[in-house]
Amino acid sequence: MITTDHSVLIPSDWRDFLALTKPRVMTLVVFTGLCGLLAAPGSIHPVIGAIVILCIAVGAGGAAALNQWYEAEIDAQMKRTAKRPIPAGRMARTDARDFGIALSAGSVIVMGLSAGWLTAALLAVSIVYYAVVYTIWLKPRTPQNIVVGGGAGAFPPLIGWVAVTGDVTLMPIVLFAIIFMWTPPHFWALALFVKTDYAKVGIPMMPVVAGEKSTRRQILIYAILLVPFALAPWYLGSVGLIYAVSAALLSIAFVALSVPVGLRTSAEEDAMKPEKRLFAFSILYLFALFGALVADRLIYNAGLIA
Amino acid sequence: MTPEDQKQLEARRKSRNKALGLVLLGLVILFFALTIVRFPDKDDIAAYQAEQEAAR
Repeated sequence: MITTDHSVLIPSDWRDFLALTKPRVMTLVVFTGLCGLLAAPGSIHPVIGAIVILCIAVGAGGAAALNQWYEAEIDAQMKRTAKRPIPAGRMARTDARDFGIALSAGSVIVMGLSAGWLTAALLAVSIVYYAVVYTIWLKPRTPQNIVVGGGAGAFPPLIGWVAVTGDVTLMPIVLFAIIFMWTPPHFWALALFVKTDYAKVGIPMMPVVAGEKSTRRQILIYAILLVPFALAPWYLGSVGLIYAVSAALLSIAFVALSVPVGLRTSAEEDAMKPEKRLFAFSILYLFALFGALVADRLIYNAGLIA
Repeated sequence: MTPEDQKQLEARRKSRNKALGLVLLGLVILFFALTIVRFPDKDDIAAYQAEQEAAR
């Protein structure tokens, strides 16, 4: 047990607390949150906007810390995660738990005071969703865990949008759905070419449970299902041509890269080129799609295009 | 505990306190800025009074 290990170095370095918040995951969270905030109709005071983004980032950091508190024993057995602060013995497990709770509660309270309690409630839901529903409940139980986990990553643009408008309409839910549908092909492409030790620790990841062939087929299915969601803002009439054209081109490329991944079978010692290409493109896809959404709205609001 | 350990521990504690101090300072600035931004201005007061009038 890690909790009773007195060899843990106390006090932990502040950098270990920072590492606990998964700063790299945070960049995507901050970006999509900011896009939701900028694309929403209406205006928000820049100081409040900045605080909203900060709260989304800190809330995500708190959820990440709680995730590592709960999974410390699993992390210790996997090469990729064994160097995290708790399994490496640089932090007491309860410190991570308290840190995570403090960040989560603090971000929700500040969010409520700055952007209102509906936005704060959504932030709280997203934290509980990731730390409890995903980490504790579903991740160890179902190979669909990544599909469920995608929901956690899908909250930031919804929260950013609602901070501006003050109500939940169809458009922010569409943004949520886009990231939700995007996550499975994004993650499973990675899971196909990175040999992880998830099987060893009993986490039912799709390629391990359902096999490679089924995972590949599901990647293709999700990639195709993503298309109508990516185009939805356009036929809802919420965006203009810049988004519509960008989304169409990005969707064509995403499906085109998913087809070879979905239909082939890998050989022994396979270089996994199509999978790596799809994974790399999936990240670009999300940045470009949300970037196009914001560009579309900003140009429209500036009155450059009627 | 060796003197080296002691020294390392103290250095770590010091840097951690510094980090915590910066976080607290940041929170002070955040709440100050939030108060200034959300403090009711003329328009807010007018809107509030209009609401009160309407309710009467």
